[in-house]
This record gives sequence, structure tokens and C-alpha cells, in this order.
Amino acid sequence: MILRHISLLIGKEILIVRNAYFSSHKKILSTLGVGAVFFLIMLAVISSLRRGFNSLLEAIPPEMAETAMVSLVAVIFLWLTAIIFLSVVMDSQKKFFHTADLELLMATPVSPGLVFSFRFLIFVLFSSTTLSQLLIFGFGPLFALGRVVGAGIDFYLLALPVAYLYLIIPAALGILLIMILLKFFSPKGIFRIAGLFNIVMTVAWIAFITGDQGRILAFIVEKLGEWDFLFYLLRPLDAASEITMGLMGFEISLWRPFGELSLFAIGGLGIAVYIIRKLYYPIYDRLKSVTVQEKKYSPGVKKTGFQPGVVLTEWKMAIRNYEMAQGALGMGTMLLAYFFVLFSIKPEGGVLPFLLNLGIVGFCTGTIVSIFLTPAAILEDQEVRKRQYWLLKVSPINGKTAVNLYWQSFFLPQLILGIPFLALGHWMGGNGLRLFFPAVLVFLVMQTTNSFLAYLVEYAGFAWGNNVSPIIRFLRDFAPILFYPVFLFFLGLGYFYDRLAFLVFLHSMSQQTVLVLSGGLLLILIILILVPGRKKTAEFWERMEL
Amino acid sequence: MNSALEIKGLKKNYGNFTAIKGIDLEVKRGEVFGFLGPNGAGKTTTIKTCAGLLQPTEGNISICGFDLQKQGSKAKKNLGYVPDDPYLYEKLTGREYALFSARLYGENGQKLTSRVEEYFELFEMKEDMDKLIGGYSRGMRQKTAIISALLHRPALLMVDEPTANLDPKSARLVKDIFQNWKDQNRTVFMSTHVMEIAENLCDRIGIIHKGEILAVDSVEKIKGAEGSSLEEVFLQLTGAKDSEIREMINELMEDTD
Repeated sequence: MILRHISLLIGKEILIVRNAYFSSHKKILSTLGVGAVFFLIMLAVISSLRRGFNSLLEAIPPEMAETAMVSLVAVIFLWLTAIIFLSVVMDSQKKFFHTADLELLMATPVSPGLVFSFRFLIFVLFSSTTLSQLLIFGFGPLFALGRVVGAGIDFYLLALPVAYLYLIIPAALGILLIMILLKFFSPKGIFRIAGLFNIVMTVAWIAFITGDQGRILAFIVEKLGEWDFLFYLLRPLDAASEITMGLMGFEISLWRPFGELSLFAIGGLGIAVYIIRKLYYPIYDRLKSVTVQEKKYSPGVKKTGFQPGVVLTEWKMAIRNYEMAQGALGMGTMLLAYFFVLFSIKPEGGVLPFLLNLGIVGFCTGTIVSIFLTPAAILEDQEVRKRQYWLLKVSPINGKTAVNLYWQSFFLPQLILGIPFLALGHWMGGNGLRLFFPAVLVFLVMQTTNSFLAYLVEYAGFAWGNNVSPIIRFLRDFAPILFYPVFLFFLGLGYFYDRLAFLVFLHSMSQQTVLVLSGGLLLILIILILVPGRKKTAEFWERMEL
Repeated sequence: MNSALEIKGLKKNYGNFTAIKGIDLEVKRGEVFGFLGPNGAGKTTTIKTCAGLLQPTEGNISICGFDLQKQGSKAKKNLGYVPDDPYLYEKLTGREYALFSARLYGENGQKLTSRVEEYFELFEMKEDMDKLIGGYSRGMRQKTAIISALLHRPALLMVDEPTANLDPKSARLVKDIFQNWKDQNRTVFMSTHVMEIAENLCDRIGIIHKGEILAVDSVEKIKGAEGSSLEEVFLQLTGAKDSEIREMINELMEDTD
């Protein structure tokens, strides 16, 4: 019976994947198309990383090459560990506990233990949380290293499976951590712990960046020497690195580390499944009741209070959603760390790195605001957005008003939230304005691009929503990002006019004049996009079907 | 102008599938109109198209004389809409949602605030009106959606399955409100599967099947002189024969045994 249930559960997952990506010729072609685009992007990433790794290795003596390679492999795995661990911790509440089909499965004769174990295995082994991170952050760096050392075909065939086997461990640990925390704390409590953790990490980071780094590193090494038991925890990482080195062609035995890694992965999975069978239901049950209790609590609600309208209502809903606040805090911490890196290291890399830096800051600011103000469900599922908009759609509000309200909801808080960033920027390097305005401008452009894409998607005859083809979905989600370098390029011209040969005609002007010119050019371009973009979005709203 | 709702040649396609096949319908002011039909007949599509949530493929819809396509805002100002499975903002309280909804229709002031409290009291939700909607039961959500649709006192109230999720007491209250609405020369257009509601509450009913309207008339006239029940007439019109259904059930039960 258990085998039958397992096969049914597996069958359900296969059907979901088949229906989503392979149910028709059109979908198969789209899936292959997206795969090909991803592959091409990865080839570009590999090529770029290979150049970086090569120049790094050329800069060190040949006798140190193997040590450097070991460090590089270990850093790649450490990076993957951190990414997977944090992603799992962040995603588990949403994807592991709060899933729509759980109540259905719990009402069937399938044993709850099997349901929980299966859900755990699917989440760890096959969810987008782990697989996409592995492909995005593992595929490129590992294959680039392979190219650098001229690895054989066995490396390319086995490097990703080895990384996959290794990543089971941090993924399982991430879920276990969140389950243990949920056993003792409410989701809100965990949010507070995460917040505290973020603050501690940020302070530690600031101390590291601004302090005597050599002394701090010496202190860490000394402490690690005292607490050498910690290395046992990192043993799987060592094993994965050793296998990867062995596959690259270095003289390292493969069997021992492979045995160790398999033991850790399978043993870890087994222990995790055992704990999950014991803890899942009480936590799931508690989460449900906690959700209801928390939702019944309505902070600061006035009986006959000030109700100024749609924009404030949108904010109110967003601010009450602590899951969004958690994401915003995480992004905020990342941004803070990024600021410190940017201003402490002071890279002298020229125009491109500078533009990329500005782009990242703009993207982070925009994302923080989006996360903070847009319910996660809406970001992920257009259907939810549609369902939420029915009230606005049936009320006497025309397309232009709806677009205005939507924009106000997004832009005003961005401006308000931007003030602390501005202050922070000035405090750290006097570059607050330089960082803040591109962020605002880029976010404006991004919103307009989204509306254009929405229009194009509809105009091209594709259904808006989850039925849209993967290629269009890919374009819709990622094309706006392309605007960052394009638009920031104009500001870059203003800053670096004296270094760019083709701008020789500007060399007689002062930098302020050139900055005003380039800023003005950027503004004109944005207006040229915003005005028709707003019109098209309003038209789209009028014709949108819910 | 005596029409609350006028539908002319309404056609709605979903890709190659035609859900509504060119229907005509007029609902007068001061009447309760029941819209009946089996599952998938086109009831919800018609209602959603009249509420402006779907675009008609062909045809025109007027609400209180205002063309929904050309004078959308004016038409919608006269409309109150309650969907069959209302999705409400979970992070708002019932009171906030109701106020928000009414303000979208231009309502405001102390009068509105008191009206909101009165309605919540009427639906026995006064104690819950300041709790977040996320913690509401389905019935409470349905009541909140109905309250919100009534607050701006629309001339035409369109309700998809009004008593779904409601307990008998609340269902009775909704029926009384509809009756009262009618007495104020306002119109209720509702879809329902409950024949008892259609029979006792509606002045006229329309039966839709496979996107076409099969009959529109008063309940008495549709039932005919033979004294058939509305359920029997409905089953006959929509092609389901009572004896065949019983036979199928018997066969299924025997298989199960």
C-alpha cells in the first residue's frame, strides 16, 4: 500500500511537470527555447568566469596553483551552501508548510508520515529553490573551472551530480533549522530572530570591513583552531571539493570522499525524514492556529478612523504582512552590506563596473520596495492579482485612475524609503544622491517596461497570467532588468565623459554641465517611455478580463 | 427609462469555445430576477460580463441606461456586485474593507461609517468587524462581500449564488434584504441553484443552458398550468430527465455495492 501511495505521489508530481512544460508541442518548444537561452547565458557566464579564473591563476606562482584551485572550489561550494541554506530557510514556510494540496492529502488514506516525508524530499531534491540555485550558481563557476584546468568529459558529466549530492545537506539542514525554530517560536518570533541575526551579521560585517582585517582574520583562525570540532561539520564540503578536484584531474582519490559525501547526504536525509515525521504535523497544526490567532489581531485599527483611500489601504495591507517585512529586512541587510563593500573597497574598475554597481543598488532598492509593498502571492501568481483586482474592476474607476493609484502605491513609499538610503549614502561616501536617483529613475522605467510588456503579451495574443508561454514569461520577468545598464549608461556618460574618447566634444565643459546634460537626456528618455507606457497600461486595464 | 439591465445580442467566446451565444435580456427596475442554469451554462460568464470583469465578444450591455462599454464609470456606479467566491483583502478588517469598497463608489462621511456598523450588526458580525478578514470563515467573507455591495445603495445588485456558504439564518436575512431592495424600486439580479429561492423570491426567472436563454418569464408562467414544480420544468428544459437520473443513480449504487 505504501509503495502504491508513493507511486501515486510521484505520478502526481510528474503530471504537474508534464502539464506545465511538456503537454503540447508549443509548450515543449517553449521549454526547449528557454533551456537554450539559459544555456547560452551560462556559456557567456562560463566564458567570463574562465577569463577571471585564468587571470587569478596567472597572478600567483605555479607551485601555489593547486592550493589556489582547492580554495576556489571550496569557495564555490561555500557560496552554494550559503545560498541554498538561506533560500531554504526563506522559502520553507511558504513552499513547505503552506501548500494548497496538503489538506487534500491529509484527508486521504495516505499516511501523514509519508505525506510529510515525500513533501520534504520533493522540496529538498526537486524544488525550484534548490535546483535553480544549483544551476544558476553552480553550473557556471564549476564548468568555468573545468575549462581552466582542461578537465575531461567525466568532470562535465559528474561535477553537477556531485554538487547536487552535496547540496542535499545544507537544504535538509535549512529545513530542520526552521522546523526546530518553529517548534519553539511563532512565525513572528522567527522573524524577530531572523531580524536580530541580520543585525548581528551586519554589525560583524561592518566591524570586519572597517576594522583591522588582518587581525580579525588571525583571531578567527585562532578560534577555529581551538574549536576544531567545527571542521567535522564542514566535512561534507571538504569531501565535495575533493571529488571535484579529483574529477578535474588532480591526483586525489575519489572513492573515500565519495563514500563520505554519500554517507552524509543519505544519512542526513534519513535523520531529517525521521525528525520531520515527528515534528511536521504539530508544527503544521500550530502554524495554522497561530495564523488564525495572528490574523484576528488587528494592530492599530481605529473604530472610526481616518480612511484616506486606495493608496493607504494598499500600504496598510502590505505593512501588516510580516512575511513581506521579513523579505524586506533580508534585502535591506544585503543592500547595507553591499553599500559597505562598494564604499570600503572603492573599486577603480572604470565605467562598466561602476554602472553595474549603480544597477545593483537600483535593483535592490526597487526590490525592497516591491517586496515590502507587494504581497508575495501577487508577485508569484498573476491569478491572485486578478482575483484581488475584481473589486477595483467592478467599481467606477477608469483605467487611468487605476494606473495612477497603482503607481502612487509603488512610487511614494519608494521615495519615502529612499530618504534613509540617501542619508546612508551620504554618511558613507557622499554619494547618496548619485545612488538614489538612478534607483528611482530605474524603478520608474522598470514599471513602465512591465506595462509595455503586459500590453505586448496581450497584443501578441498570449494569455496574461500563468498560461503564458515560458518564453514570454521569461521576457516579462527578466527583460526589465536589461533596462538597468541601458539607462544608467546615460548617467555613466555624465560621470566618465572625460575618460571616453568618443565624448571628446564634451571635454571643454565642466562636469556639472555634462551631468546636467546626461541627466536631462535620461529624463527625456524616461518621459518618452513613461507617457505612452501609462496610456497603454490604462488601455490594458480597461480591456483586462478577470 | 425603466430598465435596470439591458443585454442585447451578448456573445462571449473563450478561444474557440462560445460560452454565451448572443443572448437578449431585459431586467426592469424594482424586480428580483433569478438566473438559473446547470453548471457551465453561462450564468457566471453573463454576470461577470455585466459587472465589467469580462469583455463581451459581441453585443451591448446597459445598466440603468448607461452603456457599460462607453460609459463604464457611470454604469458601474449603479451596480453592486457579489461574486460567487469573493476574494477579499485578507489584511484588511471587515470594517476597513467595507469602507474601502464604499469609498470607491464615492461614498463618504459619518453617514457611511454608521451605515457600515448597522449592516455588520444586521449580519451579526459587529464583534468581528474589526478583525482581519484572513481569520474569517467563508460565510463571514460572503456576508462582508454582500455588505460591501449594499453600502453604496446600487440601483442594480448582481449576486452570483447569494446564499452559498451562508447559514439558514443569514440566508433568510439576505432574502429579506432582497425583498426590501425591491420595495425601494431597486433591482436584484441573482444566479442560484436553489429552486426554493427562485420560486419564492423572484418576480421573473431566466433559464440559460449551453449559452442560450431557454425561457424568461414569471415563475408561475414558466411552471405552466399543469402544476409542475420549478425543479421539474428546469430539468426538462435543460435536458435532464428525472427518471433517467434515478436510473443512473441506481446503477451506480449497485456498482458500488
